[in-house]
Amino acid sequence: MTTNGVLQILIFFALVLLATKPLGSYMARVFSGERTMLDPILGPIERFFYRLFGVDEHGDMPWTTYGFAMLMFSVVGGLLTYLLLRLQGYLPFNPQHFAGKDMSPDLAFNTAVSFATNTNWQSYTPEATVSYFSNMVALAVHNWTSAATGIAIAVALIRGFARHSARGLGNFWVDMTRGTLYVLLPVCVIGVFLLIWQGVPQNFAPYTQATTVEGAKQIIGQGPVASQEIIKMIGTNGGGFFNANSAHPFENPTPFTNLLEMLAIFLIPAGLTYTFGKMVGNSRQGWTLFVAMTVLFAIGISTCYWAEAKGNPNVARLGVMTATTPAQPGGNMEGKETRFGIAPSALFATITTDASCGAVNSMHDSFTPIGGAVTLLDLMCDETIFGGVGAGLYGILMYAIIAVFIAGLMVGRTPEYIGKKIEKFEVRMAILAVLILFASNVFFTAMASNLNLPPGKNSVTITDANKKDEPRLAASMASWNHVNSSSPSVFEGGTYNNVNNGGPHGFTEILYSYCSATANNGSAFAGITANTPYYNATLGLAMLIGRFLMIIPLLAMAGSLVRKKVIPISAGTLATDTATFGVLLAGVVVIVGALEYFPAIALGPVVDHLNMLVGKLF
Amino acid sequence: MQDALFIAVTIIFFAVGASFTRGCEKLYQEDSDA
Repeated sequence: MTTNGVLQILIFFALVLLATKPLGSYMARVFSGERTMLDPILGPIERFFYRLFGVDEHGDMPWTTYGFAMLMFSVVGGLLTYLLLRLQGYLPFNPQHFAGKDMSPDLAFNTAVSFATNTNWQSYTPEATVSYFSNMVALAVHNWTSAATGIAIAVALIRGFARHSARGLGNFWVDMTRGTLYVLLPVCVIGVFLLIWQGVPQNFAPYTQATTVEGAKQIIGQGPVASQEIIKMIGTNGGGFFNANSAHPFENPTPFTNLLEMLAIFLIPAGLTYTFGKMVGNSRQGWTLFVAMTVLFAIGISTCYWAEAKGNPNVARLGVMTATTPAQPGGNMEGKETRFGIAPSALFATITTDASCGAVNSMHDSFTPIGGAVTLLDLMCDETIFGGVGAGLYGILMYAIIAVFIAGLMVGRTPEYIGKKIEKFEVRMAILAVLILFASNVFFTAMASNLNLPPGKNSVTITDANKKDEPRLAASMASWNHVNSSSPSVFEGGTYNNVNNGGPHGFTEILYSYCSATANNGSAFAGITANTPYYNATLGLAMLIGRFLMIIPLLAMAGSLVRKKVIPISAGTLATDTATFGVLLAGVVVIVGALEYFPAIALGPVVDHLNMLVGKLF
Repeated sequence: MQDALFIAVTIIFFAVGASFTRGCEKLYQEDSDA
């Protein structure tokens, strides 16, 4: 670890801290329906949308209506995306002539669900399969709407605490519209020009054919990159214009864009903690959540940076100098961009997995086992460490309810939070949400680690020698694990064959994939061939479960809280606006996460690390 | 054929979500009545 590296991390966090109060305060005004400085410009547009879609902007919705509206909007959006991807060959802005067959049905399902749920897992290779039209209309639109949906759900949950003796949680359509127009749009407009200034392309030109200095032909992908890039980060979506994501020099060309992109990920999730405090009438409550998130973030980044800076001892044993010198960064540089180095790569990895963004500027599969474990544990914390836009706030509030309940049991205090009595129903809903996420992760991981689809244990690649067997293999169950668009055809057979590494590292690749999908993160650990019907379908299901079956119990909790009366603070009330509660909350997240996932972590990164120490690598 | 399968899966999931919503509300009513 270097002073320079530590300083970069501290400067990043100081900037997040500086932005939290003004942005949070602004968002509180937006979602309280108060006038903002953007009203003269955006007010007429907002009202136009309400008139166009027949929205009664003053109509309050009970939680069930709010939930149905959210579900309906997401499912219809997902289905439209599916159709657009399958029909892209007939649609405009397609200079590379990508066709519907480039997006097979399972891949289109995975992609549509992925973007509708704010996951942005990419089984497809963007620059080789989707047209500009698909990128802009089918995919980038979801970057806006899925992010605004997350914010709307968080705001509904805040109202559950802020209002009392009521039924309504607000209006989903109004919250969505205001989130998009007043929050996402202005921040993106500023950010997109900064990215273009730094060299990120924004055009509709066909890909450029270049000849390299060795004489080889190279096709250079481009397009409307900057506009997708900024919302990808601000909306914690994470789906890159290029397969290499933010490691690609067209997506993230300079150290300044790297800082900008990292800030963009944390900006709204951090601001929403202050919005929460402001809307419930006690900004200290919001800062307490911020403290809990900061504690968890600090543990993650310090561990990840330490592990990556320390590097792999086996490399040193080979006589390679791994120390940091003015001429080399030292540590573990595998899978990292030399223009960023270790600290910004470890920081980006921690931020993106904390915040459920999924953009990457380095390959997590190449991290040391401990560094990789940090990214995995972040995903397992259920979007609580700043989290996705909106998702982070409702995730930490889910744990706050559990923390209040546990504290009540430990010290004999009445479980209360923000003046509301926490009873059986709220605790049930919070626990249900936690368990649903856990069940999705372990069930799908266990299945993929053991499912022995024909033709057997080993991968089967169809070559000239065994080509006559292809119809038999294709007709069997193996087609569920056939790698899409592979030429020659590759049938992986057992779903555990899709990993590039054996042993605990391979297990981690599978576990990470499902944790990433369920947490709606979308980053890939890499090292896994997931573009097969089996993985596309099951990862898609994990994303749906992780998004909607978490939101519904939390909305139900909000629906219960909003109907309650405010109870006065008494001697038996546990103070929840103190740093002590913030630390307790962070502890509950760690303990619940550790208890749930300890066996899986032990089988994956822990065994991987212990093997590395004795010289065995996977 | 596969298109129909994946569209059906998405719609079925919506139905599951709607049913889950109603189930949570029912549970709330039962808890309130108890």
